Amino acid sequence: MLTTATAAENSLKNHPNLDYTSFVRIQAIMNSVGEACTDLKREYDQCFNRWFAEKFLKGDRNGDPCMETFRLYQRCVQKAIKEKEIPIDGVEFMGPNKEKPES
Amino acid sequence: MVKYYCCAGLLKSTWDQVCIAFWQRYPNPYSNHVLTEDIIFREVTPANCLISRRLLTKTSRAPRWMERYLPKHMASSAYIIEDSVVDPQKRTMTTLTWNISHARLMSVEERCQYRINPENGSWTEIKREAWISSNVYGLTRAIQEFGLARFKTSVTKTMKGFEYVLAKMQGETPSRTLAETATERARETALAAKEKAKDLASHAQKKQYV
Repeated sequence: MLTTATAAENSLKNHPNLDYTSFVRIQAIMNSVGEACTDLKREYDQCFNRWFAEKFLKGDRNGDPCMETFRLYQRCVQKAIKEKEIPIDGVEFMGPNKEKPES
Repeated sequence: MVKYYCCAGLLKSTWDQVCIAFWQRYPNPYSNHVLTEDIIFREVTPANCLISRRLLTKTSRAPRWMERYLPKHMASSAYIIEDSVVDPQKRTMTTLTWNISHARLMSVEERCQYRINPENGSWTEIKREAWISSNVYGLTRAIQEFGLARFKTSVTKTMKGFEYVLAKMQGETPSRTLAETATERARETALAAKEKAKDLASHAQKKQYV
């Protein structure tokens, strides 16, 4: 786990016109399944969390500022998934939740 | 045969805050069993919903009595997939989480629906459902019972972790007192002792029949 307090974030935090502070950062982050991907993941997560709180939930659909960081992160993590043979290929979205009996 | 379980949960934070916290809830003091976390798919749909797939690695330890039925060098961690849909128009979030490792032994699928609490608009309620199944001949029921008990324990941890992260986001100092930590440790020790006792008891019983 790494500590994510960066100068950029601190200046963001003190910026009077941004309400990024209301959602705030958690100090530590989780490791990626690909050991080499954790830094890329952190960069993407920071971008995403801000976009999610400030744009997406508020209905702002102007572009995706995280596209490039996501692309780099994915290139790394998908490689790690292949190397570790994690069986996610062809697993349907919301996959196994076919109509299930209740009790 | 599938075992079904359903329960309701309440978080005293707004739906927006809960969704924001959802993406940042690891690590927290109650999530030591979560080893890695990744987003492996994400898209905004034409209907403006955010769909994501998260891949988690968690430690997965079987109880002693189960160990002898398992492969000798079974991995002590499991891969978990968590799919989710966030609908900002309806203010709903639905998640579906299931294990893709050891699934023949035991499969746990969980569905959570997060929505604004109808009685208090600044709170969020969670409807949590789980389906637990096992295909181990002769042990299905025992494994399902174990799975359900462990699931219930993990729900408590999940909620505590969520509350911790929400409190931290809102600038409070989350209260996890030393006493609480000690109590939890004591509980875990007691549980381990109980497992051991059961194990010994079943060995003793077997010996009688030899």
